[in-house]
Amino acid sequence: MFFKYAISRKTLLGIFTIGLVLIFGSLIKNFSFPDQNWNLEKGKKIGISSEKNEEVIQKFIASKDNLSRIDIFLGNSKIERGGTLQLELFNKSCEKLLRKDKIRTTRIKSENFFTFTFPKIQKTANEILCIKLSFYDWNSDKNRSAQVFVRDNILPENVFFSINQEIIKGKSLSMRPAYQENSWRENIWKLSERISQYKPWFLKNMIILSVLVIAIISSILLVVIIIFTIINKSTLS
Amino acid sequence: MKNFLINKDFWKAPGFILFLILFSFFLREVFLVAVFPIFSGQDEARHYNTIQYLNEPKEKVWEIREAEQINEKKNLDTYNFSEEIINTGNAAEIFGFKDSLNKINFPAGSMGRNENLINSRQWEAINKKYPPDITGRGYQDLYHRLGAFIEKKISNQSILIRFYLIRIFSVILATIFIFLSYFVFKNSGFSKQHSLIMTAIISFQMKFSTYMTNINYAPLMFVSFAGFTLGGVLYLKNGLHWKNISLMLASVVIGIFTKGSAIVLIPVFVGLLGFTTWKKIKEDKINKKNIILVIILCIFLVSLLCRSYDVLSFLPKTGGGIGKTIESFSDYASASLPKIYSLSKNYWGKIGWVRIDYALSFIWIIWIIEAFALYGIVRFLFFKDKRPDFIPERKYIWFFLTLIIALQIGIRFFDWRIFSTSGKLNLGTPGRYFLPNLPVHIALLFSGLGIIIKKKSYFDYLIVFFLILIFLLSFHIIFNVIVPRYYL
Repeated sequence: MFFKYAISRKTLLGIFTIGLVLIFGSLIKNFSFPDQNWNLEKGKKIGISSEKNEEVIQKFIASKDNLSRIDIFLGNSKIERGGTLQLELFNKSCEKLLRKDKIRTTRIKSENFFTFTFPKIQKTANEILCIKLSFYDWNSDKNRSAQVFVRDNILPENVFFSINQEIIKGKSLSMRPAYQENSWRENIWKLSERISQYKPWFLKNMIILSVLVIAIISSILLVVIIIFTIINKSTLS
Repeated sequence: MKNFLINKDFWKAPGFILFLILFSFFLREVFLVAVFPIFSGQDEARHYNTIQYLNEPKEKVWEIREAEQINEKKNLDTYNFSEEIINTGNAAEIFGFKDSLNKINFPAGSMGRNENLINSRQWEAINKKYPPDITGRGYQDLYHRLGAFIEKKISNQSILIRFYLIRIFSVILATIFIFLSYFVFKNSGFSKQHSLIMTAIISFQMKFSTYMTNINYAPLMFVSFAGFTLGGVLYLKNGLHWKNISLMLASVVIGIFTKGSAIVLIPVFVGLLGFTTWKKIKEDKINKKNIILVIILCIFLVSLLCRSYDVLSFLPKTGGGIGKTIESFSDYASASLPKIYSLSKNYWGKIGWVRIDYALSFIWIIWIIEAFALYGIVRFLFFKDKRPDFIPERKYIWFFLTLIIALQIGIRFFDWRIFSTSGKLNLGTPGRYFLPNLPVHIALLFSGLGIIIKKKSYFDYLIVFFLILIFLLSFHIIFNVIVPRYYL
């Protein structure tokens, strides 16, 4: 009985809808524009863990309002079963917690950056913000470290960087903040502007946006029509 | 037309659904054409340079210089491309786009930093460095000649217009490929509904989708494979008829004049004609006129093969002797077999950029489905399991398998040849090389599954489920991998 119900038109539509929600949910979550003054580059690797003596603190000046994402560049790390990367974002004095994000991962391969997202912080332009980064091994007995890249960085936006309470000048985490616009309409328009660059007139702005919208609608409509025309309303006979 | 539109069930009509498949595919592809930066496709600058080279005057009245040989070409300046391609690529910051970790520093607005410079057309679309970096043998330039025709018609326009219009030409060819695929499925014995779903599955196959946005001879070769497959199916269905033969012949000729891989169609064609004719002779169902026609056709095809290619040059250089040949093959197999995993991931759309992408674990689901399908095919062909009426007859399954094996052998033989001379997998066998047989692959996949499942209602659910899976994979790759990689 369960099997007959499980495979029905409703189930297929449900799987389809959940899949679409997850896909567009992930896009919305990561929909922000990176500050390319902060390039992700390799440098020396340092290990971070949940131990107090392996704490990494990075202070930086945000260039715009609506900070909503920070990418951190990690190197190959032997973490066996896996662990949780945690990023905490504080105010200038590293005391007031503003945002926090965790990523559970079973592997940290070489040259991978991890994306920490959080609800946007509206007034961040020219503000000094403080990042604390740590890694929690799922096997708490082992307390392995995640390897994060530290790069040369003499930008004035790189305010302060310390590892294990030792201040290191001229260096920073290999990280990249990203910002949203003030509204979703502005976000989408900015994306279309970026895609439009170095394109002919017929692939710019409203034209390419219209192509995208109609493509999404027609593709979804196609699958829904197929589900309705092929799968009978009644369950399996 | 009016009756069609006022019929409230028009949305269920196969014609409308086919239109929607082609329409949605075309628009998705145009979007991807815009998303991928200029010259970012596989060997795209080289293919475009070939198009520009074909448009050059025969008499080279400008200064030409012999460029020094550089083995590792790291930037556009080290290639022997036209002045326009090199300067446009540099101006369009393509090496910034090639960095998979970082983005270019986008200015505000919809004009690139150097876009006005590119549009001012200060550079010449001619090759000054020799030998020019172009693709293909002398006569294998049908795609490029068509591209050169488009380029010439709009030669007074900016390179951005010319380049992206030729990309859209590739998309049009890909749309034709999908259209032909529907008729392959329908004529081989699948129902209209199942044929539509399989056609939709092909349209969402991500490796195929991304590959077809490039300036590359592949789209035209894919059309030739689809045309040949359709011709073969119609031949098996309706017998010897000038339409079927013409379609296969035209497809072979288009393929030969496009890319070397099409060579595999000739032995398949000869084999198909020979085998079916022999069967009819045994059954005494063929007249002398048709036998003579088939013989003439086979002779023509074999001579086309020999004139087009130095066939012996395809054989691996093993140093002679069975022992050395086996040793060479064994070395090649040891090197290439472990790559099957990454080849398959590449075939189904995994993009090798630097992100851990857990969603691509869905490829494991596809592999499990493929394993069941293979079991079903084996049972059907060798254990004579009863054929459900929604699955093609054995003759079509054998034809599809022949096409798969022929392309596999052809590509691997060539790969082995290069391996035997260099000791390395310099060519490799990336998944995209096997995409011309995508409709055949999908047909075999669902035939195998249908044989195991047997019941049509279960099959309906499975095929729709697979469509949903492929659709979600494609949307995930477009919106969570490709767009963020370049722009977010």
